Amino acid sequence: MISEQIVQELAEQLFTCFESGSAIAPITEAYPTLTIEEAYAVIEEGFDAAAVFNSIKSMVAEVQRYVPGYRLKAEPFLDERDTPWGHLPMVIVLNQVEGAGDYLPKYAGNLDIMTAAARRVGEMIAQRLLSTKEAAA
Amino acid sequence: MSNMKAPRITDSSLRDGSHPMRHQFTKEQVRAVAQALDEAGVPVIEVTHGDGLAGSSIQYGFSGTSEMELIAEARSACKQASIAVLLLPGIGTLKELKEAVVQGAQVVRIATQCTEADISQEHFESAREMGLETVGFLMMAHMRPPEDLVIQAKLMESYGAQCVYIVDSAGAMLPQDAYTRVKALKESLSCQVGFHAHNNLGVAIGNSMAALEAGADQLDGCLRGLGAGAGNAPTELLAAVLDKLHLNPGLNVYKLMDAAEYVITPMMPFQPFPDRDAISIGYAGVYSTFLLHARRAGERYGIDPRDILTELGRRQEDWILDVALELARDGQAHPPLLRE
Repeated sequence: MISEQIVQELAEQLFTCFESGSAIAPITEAYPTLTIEEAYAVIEEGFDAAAVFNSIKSMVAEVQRYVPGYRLKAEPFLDERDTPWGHLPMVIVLNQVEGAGDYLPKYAGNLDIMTAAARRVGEMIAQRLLSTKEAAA
Repeated sequence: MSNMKAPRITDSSLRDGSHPMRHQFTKEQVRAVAQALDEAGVPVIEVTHGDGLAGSSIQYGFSGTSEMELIAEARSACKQASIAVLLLPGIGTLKELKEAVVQGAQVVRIATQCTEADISQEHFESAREMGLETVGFLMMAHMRPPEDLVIQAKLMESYGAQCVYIVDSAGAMLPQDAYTRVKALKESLSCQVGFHAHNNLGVAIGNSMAALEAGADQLDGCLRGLGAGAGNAPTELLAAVLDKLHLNPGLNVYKLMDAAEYVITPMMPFQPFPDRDAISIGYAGVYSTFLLHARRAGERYGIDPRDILTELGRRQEDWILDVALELARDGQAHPPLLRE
């Protein structure tokens, strides 16, 4: 069994490239199930909001190629917050991951995205193997 | 009335009160409050970010002063009282709990949604290994009938909880709801049972008394009710009522009244009260902690905070911004609950 503690520790490792970050689980009931939703908020000074929004959208499009249920619930938007580093702008992204529903239930998009990503990696490796073979032949 | 006994009181001004303080308690304030509570005979004082250890975040609001410094400050200010911390698995982790113990925490209150006790096993077991006194918090307990809560409470007891609280996070219970839930736990558990009230429907003290009548061993309060939503059961008021019932567990009522009047009131940004938004929380049954976040989102997106709160109550989700945006986009297509 994967515990809450382990999931949080793993998630927090994703933030190691930032000055500070945390992973917070939704404090709600497990049933009825929610489609997995995530909200990211990034605080940064003097950034190009349009460039950030475009980058988010192109990444979403990229992920959609192998996880069709990966989508933004709303356009990314700007907000402001009091932080330990001052009153700063913040980008909020509300997204949703619906699983393919092949084996796991559709709401388990968090698990399904890992399977889908692994499959994508497998396909990329296969493609590369095939192209090297062709080149050698 | 034969079940009634003098309950142990935990004061949560420095934890639940962190919400209305927007998590900006200073060391000086914490010292003054902890000292006053300690001198008045309060046996347990809870000090943590409002959303528990590691709650300081964009999501819940950043702490002005690190909770670890505040825990250490409270510890050094107290002669007899124990220091408690709140831990919500999913927000805080064992890493922060270990640090809190180094700073002087002796009691941990481990809180889960009232249907999700099974995520707390690791936390209870580790806390007992660390030698901490352990208390389980079943949050949003108005949402489930007593028999369901018994199953969840038994899980916590089996993991090592020495007391399990019925927590009325939404301030949605009426005295009968508090009574039946505490009674069911008392009849099924061998560990202690506690009750944590919120005043959103104006019955925090009444609910605490009903819990006491059902056999509660522990009750929570905050000076002047300083807590989320419409606040909690005021500690000084609990003390006065218990004294009148001849069930005073050793609290100095005058000193608590003075602490409320002269120590906490001057630092409060506002008096928590069942105003229209807080009543909506109690009525719709959502977390009291949503009050200020919903108010903020309402201001920002031009929506009545009551509509956000009732919609959140309908969905039982915690994505306030998501709901606010949807309401703004749909022109509030969903009819608000209270006006139906």
